[in-house]
Amino acid sequence: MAKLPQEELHLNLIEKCPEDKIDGLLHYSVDSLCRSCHPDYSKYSAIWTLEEWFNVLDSLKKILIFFAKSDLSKSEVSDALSPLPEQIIAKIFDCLTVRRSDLHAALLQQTMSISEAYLKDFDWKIKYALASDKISCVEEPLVTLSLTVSEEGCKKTIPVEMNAEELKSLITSLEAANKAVLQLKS
Amino acid sequence: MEEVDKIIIHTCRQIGCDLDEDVFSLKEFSTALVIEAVVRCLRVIDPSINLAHQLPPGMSARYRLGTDLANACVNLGWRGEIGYQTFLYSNDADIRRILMFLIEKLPKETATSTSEPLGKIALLKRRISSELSQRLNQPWLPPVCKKRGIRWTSSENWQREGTIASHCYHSEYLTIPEGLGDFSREIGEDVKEYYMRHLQPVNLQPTHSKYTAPSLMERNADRLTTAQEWETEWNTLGLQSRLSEKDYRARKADRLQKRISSQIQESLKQSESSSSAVSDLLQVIGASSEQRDKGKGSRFTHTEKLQFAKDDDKLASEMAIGEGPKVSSEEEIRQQQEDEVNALRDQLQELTTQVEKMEIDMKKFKAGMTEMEENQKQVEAQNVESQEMYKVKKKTMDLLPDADNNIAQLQAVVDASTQRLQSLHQQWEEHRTPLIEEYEKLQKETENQVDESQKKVEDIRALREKMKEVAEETKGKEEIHKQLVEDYKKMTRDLNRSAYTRRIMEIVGNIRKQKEDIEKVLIETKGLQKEINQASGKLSRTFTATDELIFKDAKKDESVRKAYKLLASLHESFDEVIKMVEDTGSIVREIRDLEDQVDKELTKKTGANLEKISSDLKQMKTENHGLVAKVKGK
Repeated sequence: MAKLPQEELHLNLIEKCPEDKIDGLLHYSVDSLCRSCHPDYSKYSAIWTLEEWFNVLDSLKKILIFFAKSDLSKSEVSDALSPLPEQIIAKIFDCLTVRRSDLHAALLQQTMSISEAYLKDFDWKIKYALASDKISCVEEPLVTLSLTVSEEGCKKTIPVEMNAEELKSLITSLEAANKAVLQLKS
Repeated sequence: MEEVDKIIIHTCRQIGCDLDEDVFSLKEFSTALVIEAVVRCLRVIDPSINLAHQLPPGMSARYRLGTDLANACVNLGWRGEIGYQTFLYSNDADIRRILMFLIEKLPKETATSTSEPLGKIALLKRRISSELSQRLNQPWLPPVCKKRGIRWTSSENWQREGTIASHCYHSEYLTIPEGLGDFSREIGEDVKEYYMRHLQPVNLQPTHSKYTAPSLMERNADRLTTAQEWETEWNTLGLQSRLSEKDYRARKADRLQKRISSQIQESLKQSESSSSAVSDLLQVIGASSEQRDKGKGSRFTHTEKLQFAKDDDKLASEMAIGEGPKVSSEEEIRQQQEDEVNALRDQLQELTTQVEKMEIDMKKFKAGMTEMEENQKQVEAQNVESQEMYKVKKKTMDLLPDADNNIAQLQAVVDASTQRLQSLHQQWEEHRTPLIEEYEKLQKETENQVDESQKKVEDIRALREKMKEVAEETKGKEEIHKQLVEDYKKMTRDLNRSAYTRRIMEIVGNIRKQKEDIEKVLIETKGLQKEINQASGKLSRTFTATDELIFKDAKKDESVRKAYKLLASLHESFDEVIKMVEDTGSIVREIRDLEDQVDKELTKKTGANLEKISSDLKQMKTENHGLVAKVKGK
């Protein structure tokens, strides 16, 4: 277990935060890890300048990730974050215990994105092609799968159009893959 | 009879006859209506029949039409008596019979199941065409009038036009409080505070409100699939392993972690072993690559790393020397690089073969070492043995001088030891048997428990399967119920089928009662007939008997002859009486039949028809005269 690099964290900046706002800020940071939404600077503009704000957010994220990976007790957490005052350390520990499952989910997401391309979302549409420019009566049901794939950090949408048999073969191959995964898990 | 008429009238209306609203029975059918109904039926049955369904004015035309209709009915299979008179001069019963016959012959509506799947596609197409035509008829609306592309066609119908409100499906992670409905479980204070103060509602959590729906759907699908997978896994493997849920999950997590870690280590080792020889060079590259990158440019994008490294190495060594020989042209540089590559490759080859050789030597030495160790152990064991033997022999040697005494002593010692052995053996046996019994008892108990628990596991599994089956059955039956309710609503309800079925059942009951009565009467009649036969037989026998008796005495005595004559006359008169009675009976029957016939004929309206016929005949005659006069006149 690597040690928390205290020099990179701007613990002096974190100390400046008043007590009543620190837990809101911590929960915002956890949310930004899980969901990539950003906390609102306007509420904290009195305490930090914009540059300090970004540093504070980065260091809070690093702290939370570091402690989420390992299951430490309160004393160990306070040892690792020793320059910070007691109340702030207590709030950080509370936030860790309450949001443990969310942090785990965020770390799992990060680990899953190690592979080269992975599927984030998919959407399907069913269409009924009545006619085309060459044939007047086609009347074929088609399905359009749009797969949102995240490849090296950027999202791509891949549309796939299939008719009934191709869809069936896709489903059978996916079922085979699922069976293989279940066998690996068991 | 009214129901029959109602059905006939209803069917006639359905095929298109123009009947008045208050026509309720066949008595009110005029000749024109009759002919119209018959012609329409015939047309529906056989579209090739091309008869007019209006009654033509001329008598001969009417005659022809009547005969055509009669022929058509005969062609369809009507077996009774039919002719033009049945249509032109009709009576109720005949008309009813003919119309019933024709209506039965009408082609039935084929609502078979084979048209069902086609029916769905046809329905879909019809709906598509109606929807498209409706939309094409509507005027265009600019997008500002349609909020998010939705346009209302009526107060309940709306349609979406354009793609202005579409967005891609993007789901995000949501936090939803759990376990709040379960009051038996305790939730910590800090968790509650988080839920109350900091956790936002679900529709505010994603980055944009349009992503709430996809995120919720993903979350639910995810949980559903995990629950289903866990369900199947628990049912198949979990119950078998007989651990509690927690233990099973812990064990599975351990197993998976071990597997993952072993896989990662293996792949690491593989990658390490393949790059061990090149790693040194790579380190050199790492140190000096930053300078080189900008200098050489695209020429090196396709060369191997080794080439790159080789060039770096060479230039590094050259810089160390202090002078850099100016490389004049590209080809010389390339040639040099290639030579260096080959030299390095040969070196690599040599080093690897050396390494392999040394590894083989190491193995040989290790094997030799193990062999030596084994030998050593063997020798030591032999050593120990021979030492023991030596000690024993030495002791016997010592004891030899005082041989007899020592032998006696030794004998005593041996006896004592054998006795001790026996006693120990007995004690051991005593101890052993109860322990063995206990062991067997405990084994049986465990086996029973194992059997029982297996049975229970199987029972549990069977119960779960039954539960699933029952749930599926109820779902299927609910769907069928819904479908049937819809079908029932869709069906037309202008004919009251339940009334008809009730009447039919009543009629069937009546018929059954009548049948019983008839049978009773038949039995009575048979009995009476038998009695009559018996009586007449008795009569004739007694007569012949008395006849003979008296005849024997008749020759002798006058009074006996008189008695014989009286007897004969008596027999004749009574015979006549019997005949009279029989005749009266038959005449009464004939009277009844004739009365029935009279009633039938009365219903045929023959008087009115005769008048009609005579008037029509007169008309025909006049027409004929007219036609003849015309022909002659020409």
